[in-house]
Amino acid sequence: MKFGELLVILFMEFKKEYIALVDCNNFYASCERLFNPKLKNKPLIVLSNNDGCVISRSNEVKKLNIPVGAPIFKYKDLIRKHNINLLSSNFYLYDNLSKRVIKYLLSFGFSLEVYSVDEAFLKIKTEPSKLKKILFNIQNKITKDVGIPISIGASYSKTLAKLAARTAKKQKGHVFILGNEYSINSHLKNVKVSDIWGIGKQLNIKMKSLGLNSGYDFKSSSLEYIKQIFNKNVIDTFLELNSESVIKVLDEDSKSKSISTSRSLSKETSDINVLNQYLASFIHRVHKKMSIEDLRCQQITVYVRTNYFGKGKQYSNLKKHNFLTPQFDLSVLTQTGIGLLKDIYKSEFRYKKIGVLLTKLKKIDTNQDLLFDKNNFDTQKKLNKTCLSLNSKYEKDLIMTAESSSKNFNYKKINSFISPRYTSLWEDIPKI
Amino acid sequence: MFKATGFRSPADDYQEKELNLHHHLVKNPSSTYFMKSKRARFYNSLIKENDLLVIDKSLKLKIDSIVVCIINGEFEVKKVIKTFPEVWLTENGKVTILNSNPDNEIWGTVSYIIHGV
Repeated sequence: MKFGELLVILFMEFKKEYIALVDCNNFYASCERLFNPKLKNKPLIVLSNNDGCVISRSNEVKKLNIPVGAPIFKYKDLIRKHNINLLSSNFYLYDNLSKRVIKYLLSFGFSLEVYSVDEAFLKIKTEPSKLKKILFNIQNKITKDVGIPISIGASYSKTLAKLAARTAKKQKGHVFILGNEYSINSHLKNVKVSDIWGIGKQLNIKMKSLGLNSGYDFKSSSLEYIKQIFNKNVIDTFLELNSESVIKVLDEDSKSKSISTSRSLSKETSDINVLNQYLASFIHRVHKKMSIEDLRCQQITVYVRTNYFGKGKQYSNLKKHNFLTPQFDLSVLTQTGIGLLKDIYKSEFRYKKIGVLLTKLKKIDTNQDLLFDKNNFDTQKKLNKTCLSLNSKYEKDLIMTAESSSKNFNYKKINSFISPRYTSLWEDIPKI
Repeated sequence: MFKATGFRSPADDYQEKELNLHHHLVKNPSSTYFMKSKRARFYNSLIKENDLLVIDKSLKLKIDSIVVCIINGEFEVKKVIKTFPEVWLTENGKVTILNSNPDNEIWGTVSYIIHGV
């Protein structure tokens, strides 16, 4: 070997596989602020559906110790005192901006798993010395170009990346890396076991009783010991803290998709006609979601349940139906769904919740149609297209199946402080 | 599409996608937003009342860029006349120095102004 080659080997860095968690800071509050500069640096709370509870807070509100999930009426005085701005949730806007962040993230070319509306995991294979630059670049670009501030935490497993992201939020530059054994250990010493991803209340109590208080106590236990006491999920978390990536990043190809809609009914009911209307309107909605993504489903599931907390005997059930060929015909889905509901419906109960789930989804053109289904298929496709384009033209659900549109059908959302749909309705774009 | 029942069209092999105006105007979908101007702006009404502004937040700030900015908590449309070391903005001769209020910011660059005639 020549001297030059030796030098190259000496200074060569090996690529490592990192996992990064990209997290949008105070996501809903940030979305609202993007189009309303008056909210900048002002305390802001975004309320849940029906304006009942706190679901997102700006940093100013976090400092006032108003927790997420808190019913808003409890904090009336504090809200008045600090002039806190209240907004209803505008999911049209949040969904649009979330998709922009994801699309932009995809353009960096790493495999990506969308974890929630405001979080995504990235798998980044690179030399350790380059990681920081890559992450800062992603952080800067998305924050500036989309307008939604993000923070990124990176390490060798999802669990460690989650922890790093928490710290990243509080740090200047909003990037934090747990890149070596030393930094991981010293970080875990300051982390409570309950702050670790996947360690819930019950587990936390158990860990404390065993003297495992900090993340480091847990991480530095022996595998044999952990295996004897805990189940597989905890063992996975243990391995993840020890830099072994057990919980894999699932990109779009490796995920099985599903689309669902469910809702708690405003009034419990045992009336099958009312339930049918709800179900039909939900099917209408999932069908719309499915059509937008050019998908068809091979399986439909309907489920119902009564009030868990009610008195007396309670009931819940679900039923699935598998189609011969993947379906996207709204009327077939509605008929099938209503048939399923009939099978699981029992008249003696009052129902609190009903939902529908479409699974085994496939792209529209990848399926081999059955020969005798062929004619039907083209007609369906055209009908579908027409309905969709009419509905989008009038921006309302103009065409629906008869089952889902009844006059005395009322489940209304209360959203008295909702912002305009800045990014999805022409009438609502900002006027400046 | 309709299929010809008689002879196959000799132009079949030359089918192309329809020109798509949205794709032409929106180069960076993740960072492009639309806004509407409430009033005419700039000399000669470069922007007319109710014009649609296509705004790309990813574009780099340049001299002569038309930008949407936030000045004292309000959206404004201005022209950039200086970018360094301070950003100077103007509309009809009135100059604003961006950095005069730390909350001021450039929101995005106007990439197209669309008006009907």
